This record gives sequence, C-alpha cells and structure tokens, in this order.
Amino acid sequence: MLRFPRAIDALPAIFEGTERWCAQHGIEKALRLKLDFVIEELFTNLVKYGAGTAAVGLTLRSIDDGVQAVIDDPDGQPFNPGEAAPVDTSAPLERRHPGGLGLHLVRRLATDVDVQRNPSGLGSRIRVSVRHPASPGAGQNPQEE
Amino acid sequence: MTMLAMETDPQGRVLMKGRLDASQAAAAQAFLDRHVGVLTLDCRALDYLSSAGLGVLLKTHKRLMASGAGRLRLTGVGGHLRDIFVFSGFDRLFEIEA
Repeated sequence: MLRFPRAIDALPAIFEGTERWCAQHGIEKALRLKLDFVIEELFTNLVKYGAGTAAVGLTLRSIDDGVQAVIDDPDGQPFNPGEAAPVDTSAPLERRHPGGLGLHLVRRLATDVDVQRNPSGLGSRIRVSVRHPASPGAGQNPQEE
Repeated sequence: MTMLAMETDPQGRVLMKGRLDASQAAAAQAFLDRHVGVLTLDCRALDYLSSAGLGVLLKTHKRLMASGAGRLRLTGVGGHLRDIFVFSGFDRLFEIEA
C-alpha cells in the first residue's frame, strides 16, 4: 500500500505511483487515465470534505479485465460515491456550475464501487474498479448517450 | 509524468499540454483569466482532465460570454477528454472542433 498526505498537492505523487504500477502491469494508457480520474475524484473528495488528518492509503490490484483501486481513509468522514446528488448533464449553460461533477463521473467511469465504514465510525475503505472499454459493465459508451 | 504546460501562440490560441488536474487548476485558471474575447483552446496535447479542469473551462467560458461577444472554443478533444466531455454534458455547452 502506498500512503499519501491528505492534500491536493499529493496528486502528482499519486499519479507517478499509478503510472509506475500500470507500466509494471502492462496497463495501457487509456485505462490508466480512467483509473487516475476515479482516484483523483475520490481522493480530492476525501481531502475537501473528509475532515480527517491521517495519510490516505492506495492499493492497486490487477483484475481480469482492468484494475481495482482500494482507497483507505483512516479517520475521515465516510462517504459513498453512489449516494452523491445526481447531476443534470442536459441542463443549459446558465444552470451549470463548477463543482459537483466528480462523483457523478466516477459513477459513469467506474464499476463495483463498494464502501466499508470502519467500526469506529470514522474512516472507510473504498473499493472501485475500472475496466477495459470492451468489458461488460465497463461503463456506458459515450456514443450510446 | 507530464505536468501542465500552457502557452499562447501568435494567433492567440491557448495550447495546453499534459494534465489538468486539481493540483493544476488554480494555475490554469490564472492563465486563462488573462484572455478575453473568443478564445480557442487547443487540447491536442492535453492528456488528462478531471472535474477540477472542467470547472476551470466552465468558469472561463461563462466569464468570456458575460463580456458580450466572447466564448471558449475547444479543438483537439479526443480520447479521455472526449469521454469526460460527453459524460458530463459539456459537449453540449462548448463549441468543439475536431
């Protein structure tokens, strides 16, 4: 497990870690970018809203058709990406505002999102997978929208 | 790992290269805030965009439009960026050239 300080400035180090891991495991760039996106959105949510102080853990695992990321938050407020407020992506420009899209996009790009809260009530373990575009359940094809 | 690099070419187009993530959003916003009118952003060399980057583009587009005749136009949107634009509905908000 890699550990990163709970700060937005940790993102470059996180991405260096995913790039190295993906190179070692033969993961192509398109899937790595999807992985980076999901990790960034979950990590920045922990940083902005989690109110924890401890370093955040990241573990990557190969799965049959992609990569599973496990994010360990030792002491932040748990949140479930699946429970985030929906976003009306068809709204006109005047009703679109910066923010709020991250978890919506995680739901579109990732599969098998699972959140286990720590027994103490603080902290959680988030498991999330990204899959090759051709895999069943890999996420909706943009062209199908 | 390619961090974000930005430059304005002689035609006034902004070229972004690398990754526009949350750690680079403030720098990108400050750079784009210096531009007025119809601004073309060339994304051919922009590998990665997160929701923080989408926020930068949306804020810039709204600012330029609020000035009257301005707007943000995008070119070279493909791959990862295209997916993010479509899934977020931003493909309907911006003028995007191939």
